Amino acid sequence: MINSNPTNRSYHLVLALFTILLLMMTVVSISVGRFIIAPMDVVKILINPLVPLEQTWSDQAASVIYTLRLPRVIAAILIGAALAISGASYQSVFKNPLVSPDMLGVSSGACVGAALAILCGLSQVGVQVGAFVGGLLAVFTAVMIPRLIGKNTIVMLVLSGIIVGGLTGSLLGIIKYLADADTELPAITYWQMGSLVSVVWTNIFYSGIPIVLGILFMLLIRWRMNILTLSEEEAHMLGKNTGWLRYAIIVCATILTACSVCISGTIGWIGLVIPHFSRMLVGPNNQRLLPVAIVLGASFLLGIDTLSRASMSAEIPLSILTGIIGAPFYFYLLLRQRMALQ
Amino acid sequence: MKLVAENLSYAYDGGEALWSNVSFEVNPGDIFSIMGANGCGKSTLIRCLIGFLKPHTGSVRLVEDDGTTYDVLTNPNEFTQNIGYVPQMQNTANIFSVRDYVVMGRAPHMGLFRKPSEKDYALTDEILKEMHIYELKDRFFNTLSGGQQRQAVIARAIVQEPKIVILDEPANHLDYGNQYRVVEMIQKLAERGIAVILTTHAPDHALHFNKTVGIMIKHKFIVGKADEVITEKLLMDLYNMHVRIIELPEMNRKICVAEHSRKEGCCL
Amino acid sequence: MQLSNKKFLVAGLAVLTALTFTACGGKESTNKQAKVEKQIVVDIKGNKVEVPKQIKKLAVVPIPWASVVYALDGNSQRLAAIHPGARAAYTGKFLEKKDKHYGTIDIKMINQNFSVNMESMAAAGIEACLLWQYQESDAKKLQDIGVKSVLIYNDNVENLKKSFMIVGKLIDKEAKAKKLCDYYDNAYNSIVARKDEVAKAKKPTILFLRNAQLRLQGNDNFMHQALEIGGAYNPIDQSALDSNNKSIPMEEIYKINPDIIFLSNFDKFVPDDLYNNKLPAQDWSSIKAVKNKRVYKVPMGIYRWDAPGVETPLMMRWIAHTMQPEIFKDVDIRKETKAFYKEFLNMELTDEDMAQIFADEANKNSVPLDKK
Repeated sequence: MINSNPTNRSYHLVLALFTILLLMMTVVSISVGRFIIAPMDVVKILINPLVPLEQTWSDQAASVIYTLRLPRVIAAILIGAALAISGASYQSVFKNPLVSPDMLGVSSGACVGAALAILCGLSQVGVQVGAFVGGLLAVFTAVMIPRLIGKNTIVMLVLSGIIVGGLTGSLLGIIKYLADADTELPAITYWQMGSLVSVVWTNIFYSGIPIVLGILFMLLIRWRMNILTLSEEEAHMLGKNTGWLRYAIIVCATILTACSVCISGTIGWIGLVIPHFSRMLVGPNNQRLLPVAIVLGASFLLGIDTLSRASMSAEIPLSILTGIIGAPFYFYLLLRQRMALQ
Repeated sequence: MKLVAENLSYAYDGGEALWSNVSFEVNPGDIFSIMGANGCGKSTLIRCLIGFLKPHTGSVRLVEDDGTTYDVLTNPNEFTQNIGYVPQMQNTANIFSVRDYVVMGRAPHMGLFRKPSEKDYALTDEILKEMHIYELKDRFFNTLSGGQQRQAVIARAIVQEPKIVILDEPANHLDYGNQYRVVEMIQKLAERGIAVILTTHAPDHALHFNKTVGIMIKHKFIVGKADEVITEKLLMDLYNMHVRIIELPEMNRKICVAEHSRKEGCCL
Repeated sequence: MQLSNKKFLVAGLAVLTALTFTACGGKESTNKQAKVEKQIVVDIKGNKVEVPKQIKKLAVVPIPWASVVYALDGNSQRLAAIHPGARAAYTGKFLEKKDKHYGTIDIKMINQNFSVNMESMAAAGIEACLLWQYQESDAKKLQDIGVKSVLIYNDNVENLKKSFMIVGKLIDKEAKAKKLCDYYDNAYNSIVARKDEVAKAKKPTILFLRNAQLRLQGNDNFMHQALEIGGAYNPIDQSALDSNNKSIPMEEIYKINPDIIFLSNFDKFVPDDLYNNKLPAQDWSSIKAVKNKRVYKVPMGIYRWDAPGVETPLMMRWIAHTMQPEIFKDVDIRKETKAFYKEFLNMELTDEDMAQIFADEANKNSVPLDKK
């Protein structure tokens, strides 16, 4: 089966199924938590601002939903989608299915930028700008190293990612060493491990809008993204302003990653595993891949965060959960691919 | 529409000219075969023709029947819309399905944010059928055989509805049968009134087309009718080989037969 | 078909965005339980927080402040959630013998990094929560879901006493909080009263270690001050170390060659570890304090004495008494402690309790501090 492309019909089926799954998960996620609210009340509380209903719930229940759960659910959906789509886009632009925001150092670069901003005592917006600049610098360095060496191969890009990763790791170490152990350090550690605990509406407003715009741009450009995966001459002959488009997509994917890092800190594996899994389901054509990756990425992170939020013990940082689930799953995907090719 | 190359020369980073004084024109229905030894710069010439590289001197132009002229550097869109390009066979990570790949040929005719319409897919299917690879349409490109991959790439160039098709060593890496299938395909393109430019290592193919050839030899470029230009002496100079050119009157064709390599000054 | 899918997606995102905006206006603040008597507490940041007059369930995020509430109340009944670190300072320690309830207080609602599981707090019916002053965004969220949050801080004496009073007001124990502040002032004044004598005296060089990795203790404002007024020479000062998570190299210790070493209760190490050179990669044998057997584990009562809290005045006295036994010879620290525990914590301390508070077992090989 691996030799042939899933048909259009199966794509629509997959997309519809996972969209329904995402909607169901959203409802479930808003309903569960350590503060018990009857499912019927959850629905009523959500509808109430649009259509006023007779209040059968406590004010506290409404507050729990609007202050604690809804921002997190929306943030999880946005970030999951953003990380998955930016991973898929990087993979197209760099013609390399192993590339991900983590591998190119975007996430860790963004983390360094943000940590530096926290250390300098900058505002929320400052932290966000720091994350974006850090992410862009990291991806720029990772892309430039192979060019400087004059050997622009996949292996070089991976090695270059390791160089950037090592550098950002050390920079973060320095920043952590300098940070105040009581106030700044926990904030930086929080960013490093990834968490949605401190999401508030203003985060979603500031980072959510660029994320939604970035996703829309990627969706609009997604068919043309296919062309960028071909050889450079071929892309040149099939494209309009191919070079410009390549950079636009890199910048856009970096914005998406940096904005996600701004809200949640770094969350690994989603940008790698979700596009792979989506590709397995609907094939490599970005026209089908991207919508599926969005929905899958959103569902995955929403599931992970709900698990982290509703489990009985203290909250587990998201990167730990995505790693524990993502890494073995990625192994499984590779194994399956290899066996199917034989 | 015809393609005109005038006084082209190219040098890597200010070094000695790889070739210079390259001038030719290719008209609808013509097949222009570019020949030359390994490393003489055939692919570089091709890249200059499509505007991917900028030549040192000279110009590449498209000239419409009414005389309207487009320069490759100032009107890149006319080039991408009118030229179908078939790159050398390569180990790309092209993992698209054949149909998804071939329909990409429509890209130069589409807006930036558009995706292929039903009409584009219909045209794609039509061409796939015409080339007898319709049953491969859902197969992934990288799982195809070499010959099938060539066919798919050429199909992608045809879907573009080009006036000119440029192929870089289209017969490379193909088995004997597939090589001739590609040759036939190229002839069909020319019959449709498309101007074809290709590079080749097989003088037989150029003789078989029996149209125009451009020989890249000793930094010069010789243009002329295939059967006039391709002589035993020329092949000797070009490939350092004693080659016999034999007429097959019953097929009305000329073929090349390699005798033996030149003893002195072997170059491999 | 494909187009409609895209539309669907766009519509979905639009709905999400719309929810974002409506949600902000979707909160209702009508309160049904208007019967409860209320009062206003002004916290360290100047926020006016309306709280029930009688708080039955209080969560305390800052670790030492559980013991402050304990001291003001004289018991732990009001505490409904504390930091896991506060439990760690209880298990196996002095307080475990005295108060069983403290061991049953929830430690899952507050995480190691001081973040709070808000839904659990709301679900557990916590009425108010004490937070560090920098946790403003958490405070706002808690407030939104009906858990009154009050910010406190103890970076300096001023804020410590201010925070005593805030907590006192919050749990309706203002008089006792005032007494605690007075006790603090008394201790301070009684020591400073002898500053002329202290200035003239020979001051022993002190090294106060927080843990076996040579992180320093006693360089926050409180212990720094207590060492200074108590007549210690503290050459490795906080001014040399800009942040509080720094450790000093062993060579630095050779250089200052301390006369007396204090070991904090933040780590398990004891004087014998230094006497017997048991700490890896550290050789203490040539240090004066070790040769003269003047290494001491510092006291710990309901909480660690070397952290800012209710027992800070006792610690100040203990330090002064240890540093300058001649000048402060009238200070009977054990008697003082007994009286303090009786008055504030409602506890009669036995000799066994005393031995535990002052770590007599750990200090048995050290030169005894003057016991009167």
